[in-house]
Amino acid sequence: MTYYDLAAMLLNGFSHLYMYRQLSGYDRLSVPTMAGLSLLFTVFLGTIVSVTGYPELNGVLLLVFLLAVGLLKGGMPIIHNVLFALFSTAGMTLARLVGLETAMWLYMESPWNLYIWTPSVLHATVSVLILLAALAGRRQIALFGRYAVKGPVFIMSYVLLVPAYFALLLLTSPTSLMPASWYEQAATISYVAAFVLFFILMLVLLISWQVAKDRLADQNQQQLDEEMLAYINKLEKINDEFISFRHDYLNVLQTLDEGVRQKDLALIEDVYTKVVAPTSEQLKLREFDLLKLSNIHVPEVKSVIGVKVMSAYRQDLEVMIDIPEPVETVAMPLIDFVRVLTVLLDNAIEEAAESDGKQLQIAMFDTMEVQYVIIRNSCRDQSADVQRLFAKHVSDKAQGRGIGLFSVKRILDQTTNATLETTLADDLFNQQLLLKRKTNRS
Amino acid sequence: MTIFILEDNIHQAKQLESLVIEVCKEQQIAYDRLSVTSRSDELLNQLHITARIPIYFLDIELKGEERKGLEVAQEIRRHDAEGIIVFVTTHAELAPISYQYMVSALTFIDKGWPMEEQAVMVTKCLQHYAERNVTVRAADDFVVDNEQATVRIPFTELEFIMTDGPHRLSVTAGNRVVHYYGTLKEAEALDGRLLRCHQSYVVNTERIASYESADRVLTMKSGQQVPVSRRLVRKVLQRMKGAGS
Repeated sequence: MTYYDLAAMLLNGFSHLYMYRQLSGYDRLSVPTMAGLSLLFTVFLGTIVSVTGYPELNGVLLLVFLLAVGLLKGGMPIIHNVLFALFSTAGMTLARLVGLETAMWLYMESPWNLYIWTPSVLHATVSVLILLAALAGRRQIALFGRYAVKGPVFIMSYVLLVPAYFALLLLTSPTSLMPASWYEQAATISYVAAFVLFFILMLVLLISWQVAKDRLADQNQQQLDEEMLAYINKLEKINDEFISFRHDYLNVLQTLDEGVRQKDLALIEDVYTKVVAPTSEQLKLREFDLLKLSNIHVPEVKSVIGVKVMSAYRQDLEVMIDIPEPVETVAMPLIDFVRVLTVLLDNAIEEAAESDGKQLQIAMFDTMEVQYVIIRNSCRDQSADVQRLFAKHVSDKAQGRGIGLFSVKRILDQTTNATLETTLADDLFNQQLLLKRKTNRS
Repeated sequence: MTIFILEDNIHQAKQLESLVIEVCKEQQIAYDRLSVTSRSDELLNQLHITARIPIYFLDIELKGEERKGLEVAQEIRRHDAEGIIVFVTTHAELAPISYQYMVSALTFIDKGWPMEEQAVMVTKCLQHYAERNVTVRAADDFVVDNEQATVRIPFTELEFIMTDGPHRLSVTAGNRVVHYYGTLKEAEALDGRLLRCHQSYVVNTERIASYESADRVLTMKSGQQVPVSRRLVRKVLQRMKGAGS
């Protein structure tokens, strides 16, 4: 019996920590670390509570513990931290309360006998179920953590969680402070309130998750639309330029024609030096390079590269684009690819603009098995430590910009067929993304 | 050992031919045949008669076809995986990066460069060619090639491999870092020179410079440091001693 209770307690501790990790996006906390931390904490808590005899310490210390983990992580506003900790503490305790009651009720309805160990087994079962639910919904929880901290959901969660937390404290504190009769009344109210709050909280969670998902999709779509529009505008401009160039060219030919017919060498020479020779400059017009993007048949990728190349032009970079053959698909999830590409291009452009070489090279092509994306840029410092660049807050750029490459790494960590090769040679910083295509190997 | 030149401009073909002959004489590089042609099919027909590793100088723009040279190179690669391909072009600075990867071209030579500079490049290419033909050694690389990744790094550069998240490894070699999907266990098993020295590190024993017992840290020849775990110290020291004697 005690084993079941013990298992339930350990599982509860772990679930709280896990939930908190998902909410706050503290990915660096590995599962073994979490298991160790929660084990230690549960033992500590158990000792404290049994020694002092104040069960309400459970809730208080758990909250403090989670807040401390959040502080350890850093880089998070305190109100977010409090919300996440409250959510994990109150939300999960509520869930457990409701789960236990339901399980008990179901058991009573069943034909089985009630034994002395039944509540313990039920407790353990409910804990397992909650942990499984948290594991199954980990992506949703993380999404909620990321986007629910903005807007009305944020305030609503606070409004719900604070009373829920106090209701729970009240429920777990028979020993202290209040007179018994008053406590009984308060406990009944808290009990009902806890149930009601739990269901409202679930509702809020579901709704806000839906909203967050929609908003995220909208944002992506909007950004893509804008980039596509900018790209189309540029193409139209190129087209206009081309038409006017053709027009000029016909005029030049006519003038030359005149000169040739009259065998007037002076006129021909004049036309050549004044009109024809300068057009060679126009022919080298770098914007024509953008047309090379026509080989990319994935609109999202085309628009991202287009926009970035234009911004590189604005910063006076010499851009070389090499997309020799049509690119029909991307060998990894498109949204992730676009994010990775954006960060790599942003970094390359920023660094190239600071450097003397002012070079940016972009290549994308397929071989039999591998899709290559190569981004090169000239750079300032030969001795930049390539290994160090991927650390979370390290950046050779201005403060607070280090997140880029780290998030590239995080995305690629999830992409099993991706290999990223970073080299520094001949003053060129070189990022090579190799995406292995699925092939039918024997 | 054949030298091929594919160039449709007769003047430039002659120029390159005489340059090659001159360099070979000067550097005492031996070759069986020097085949100069302006037609790609003629070159491709001669592929089967080459012995050992040939070198190809290919013009990229042939008869107005902008990418003809690449097509020829791809055709060559289909029959000859080892041959050295050098592209000759009018604008080397615009030479596509992709060519190097698609047909593993050695380098590019710009026709617009001053003759001396071209000569230097041709010499480099021919020296490389001579070297490859003398020491016909299998490339000594750390190679991973599976469903998820293709990684190739010479053992002379590879310093160490470390874990980098679940199922992710990062290889440090010379001036590069490669992140790929795999486990340390698989990586260590690939070659006898690789040694596990820590829960999350595998080192290339040939690149170890020294060991500081106070910090339990290996210093690699590049100056980078790799931790050694208490559990594996003995094994590492044994290997280092074994290599020394």
